[in-house]
Amino acid sequence: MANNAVRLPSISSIESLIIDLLHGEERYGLELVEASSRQLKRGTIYVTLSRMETKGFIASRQEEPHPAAIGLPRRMYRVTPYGLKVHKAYKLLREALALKPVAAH
Amino acid sequence: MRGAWLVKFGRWIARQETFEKTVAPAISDMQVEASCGRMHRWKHYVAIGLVLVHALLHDLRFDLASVFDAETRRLVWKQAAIYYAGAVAFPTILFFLNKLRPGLSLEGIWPAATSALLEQVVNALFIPVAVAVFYLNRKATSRRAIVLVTLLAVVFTMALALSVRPIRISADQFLYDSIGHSSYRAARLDPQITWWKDIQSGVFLIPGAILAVLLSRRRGGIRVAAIVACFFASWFLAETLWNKLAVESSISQGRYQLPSEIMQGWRAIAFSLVLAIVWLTIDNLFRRYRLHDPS
Repeated sequence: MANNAVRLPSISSIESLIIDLLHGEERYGLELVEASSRQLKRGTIYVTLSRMETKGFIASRQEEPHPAAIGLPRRMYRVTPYGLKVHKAYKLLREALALKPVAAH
Repeated sequence: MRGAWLVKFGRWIARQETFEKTVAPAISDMQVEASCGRMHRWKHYVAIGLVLVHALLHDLRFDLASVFDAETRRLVWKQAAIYYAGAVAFPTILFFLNKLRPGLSLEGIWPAATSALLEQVVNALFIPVAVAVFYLNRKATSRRAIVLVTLLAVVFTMALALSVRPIRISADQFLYDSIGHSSYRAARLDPQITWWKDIQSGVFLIPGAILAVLLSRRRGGIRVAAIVACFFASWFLAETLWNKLAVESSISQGRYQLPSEIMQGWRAIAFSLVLAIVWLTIDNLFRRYRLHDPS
């Protein structure tokens, strides 16, 4: 069989949660951890965000450094239209698959 | 600045892209938390540790792919394979002829060939590794990738040496029983000594790789040959000084003991490693000086 099938994007439940949290606003990594009520962990959030950025689900930019700020500028994340589209499609799919089958008589 | 050392360390172990995408956000968040005075320090250091481990693994996977891509196979590994073939073939023939002693029956030809070949297959591995490191460094491959290749080669050499060991020992045993020549002395057949020698054959690749890095920074055969000559001259000088100062003083105090064969092997490795590191450090300092003062 010809290997020309388009590979479907995949999105995990953690990635879906991040897209939910980023919906309509820009946030940085720790803000997402705090907003997720412990569903996201500090040790894994940055790796997940980096992977999502590679997949094109989110985009990031460096925060404008404040004159009085010390250290590296924070990285702010926002969801992309593509990320939202995939998220919505998977949400529909999950809802459809979650329908309970009719019990056999 | 809190976390400045983490920034330096992160930049050192991760690629620029990985650092900016994964490590820097974790460090910057920690710095902001610290300035707000609400940092759960240990929690975030653990998080950064995990991010660093992930970044390192991610980059190692990337490096592994880059050192075995089609271009590198053609430019680096092909050269290494040619040198390896030469380094195995010629000494194997010489050692094989050396093992054909009077009194050796026709049945002994096969063990003589096996012993010579297996010994050289393992011992010659430092040549292709040095050649590969030489060309990888010239190709501006990352330092991390070169370290990875060297460590993989060390493990591979040890595994190869240990896997062919039973065949090699049985061939050597046959030759020792047939002709009892001094070159097949019991130490060569001793399980403990041969095991350690096999381990040492892997570790011995590390100083060779460091020397190859040094050589790759030189252009032209004469300059490369000059560095090799200088390295071995310094080896000879250091060895002479060591014998003069350490060994002779122990002999004069009457407490000298001839080190075992295993210890002699480790001493040779340590010696070459220290010398290679000293040469590399001198070269680094020299390059840094030239960079700051191009005149």
